[in-house]
Amino acid sequence: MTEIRSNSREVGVAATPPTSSVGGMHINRGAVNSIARNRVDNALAIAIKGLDNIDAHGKYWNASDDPYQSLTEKIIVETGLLALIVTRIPEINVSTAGLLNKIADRLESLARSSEKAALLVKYPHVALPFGIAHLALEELQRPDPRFSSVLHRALFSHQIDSMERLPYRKLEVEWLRAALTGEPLPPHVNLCGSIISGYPHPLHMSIPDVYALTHTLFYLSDFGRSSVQREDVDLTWMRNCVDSCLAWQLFEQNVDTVGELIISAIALSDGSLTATSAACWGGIEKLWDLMGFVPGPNFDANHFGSISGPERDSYAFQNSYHTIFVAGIMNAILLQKPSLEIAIDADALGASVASADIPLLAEFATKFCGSLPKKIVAEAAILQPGRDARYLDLQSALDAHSSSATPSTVIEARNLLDRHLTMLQMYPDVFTKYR
Amino acid sequence: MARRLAHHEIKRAVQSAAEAGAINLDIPVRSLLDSIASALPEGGGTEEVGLHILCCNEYALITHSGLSDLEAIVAQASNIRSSLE
Repeated sequence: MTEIRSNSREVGVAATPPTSSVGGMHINRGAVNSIARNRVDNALAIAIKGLDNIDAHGKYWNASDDPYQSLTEKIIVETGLLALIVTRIPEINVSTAGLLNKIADRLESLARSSEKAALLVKYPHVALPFGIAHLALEELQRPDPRFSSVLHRALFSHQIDSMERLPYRKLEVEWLRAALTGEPLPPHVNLCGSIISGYPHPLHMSIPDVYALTHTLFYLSDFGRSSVQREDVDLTWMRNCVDSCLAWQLFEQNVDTVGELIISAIALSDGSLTATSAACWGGIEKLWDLMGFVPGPNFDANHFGSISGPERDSYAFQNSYHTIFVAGIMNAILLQKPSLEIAIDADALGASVASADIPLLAEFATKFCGSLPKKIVAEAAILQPGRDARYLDLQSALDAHSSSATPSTVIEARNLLDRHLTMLQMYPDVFTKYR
Repeated sequence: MARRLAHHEIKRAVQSAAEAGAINLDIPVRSLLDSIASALPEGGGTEEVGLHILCCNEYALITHSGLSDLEAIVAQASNIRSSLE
């Protein structure tokens, strides 16, 4: 038995699959699509209520002096993005169309205003957030030539690049320019300095790195519309990296990043979802089915229970809207990919987690699949001690799980151990914990 | 936090604090953030916290954020849903 550690929890994992492991599963796309349509409508309905109450909610959010970085503006933009991706679903049903119209009614006044036009003139870089909601409204057949003119002047001004941006934000500018002009993203768009140009691995990544990786893939694929095809990117490494990050984040119960990573897996897919992605989708679906929504990673149930009335409603929305939108977008993208195969081979399944103390999200993924894919368990078993710098445990996990983990995880874990052992020779007095 | 510390000074300070039982090296990053944030004056504290985390990351003292308490959220699911819908 090796152990998967998740903060204070110790979860025993059988290193060898039990003989009673279940067979493979082919997930019926008709059933997935039916679920996905419901989830999309659920997300849209919550978005509408959020917009209706945005002023009331905003009273409980920390005010910002920066008018284009407030939470209220962020929600308007992200609602626009959700609506934009939903408009791409083929054969939108009546209920979804009705919800989209309601969102458009509300976004028109919130996303376009004389104040925003004035900001676009003075601060052209705000074309990036403002442009996304405007693009959504255009796709919802709500054009506004006046606002469009001001926005385009800002977006295509050289001043939009006269600020320091992270590489994935630069890519977002390129994506928005292409989307607003109906052109594809230039095939050789500059990825200099991007995380995708390197060899990221969750043994060393932070949550902002996951965010950078997923958003780079969002823009490169136009949110899953096309598969990422770049000769200057090691796509096999990236697919493995996304799978490894999924295993890590599944055991951290971060629905937000798990949803974004599944979208990334779709963007990198070659016609079928990986077993890891499929199991994680199932985990989120089971959670959503139980709760009627999906919570954000910072949701504090104790705090929610200690407040009441409008403050409580505001807190619930603030701490779950983003994750609900991500999960809604994930399902909308799945609906755009009817030929994407969602299957898990019998050989991939069969890992059993012995303890009842497994994190709930991983438990739901287990329920969905019958048993967890061996790769998820192997990845989590290696990543947890590796990330915690528990090197003896990492060595044990490698011994037990190398055959089921991705090659990149095995390579990076061995590199980590090698660097550690080399360092120990030079610094024998290093903290006990890191020996 | 106002003074810049060299890396070896940070290591020594953190090690001493851990040995004295003043901090727990296994503490989730969110708890650490909360405790630091609560000790800082209103406004202007964000950068200080960010700098601290940057230092800690270099030393791998903090390697992941806290596990969300999904069970507690599930227990409140119907109330939360009422707030959202």
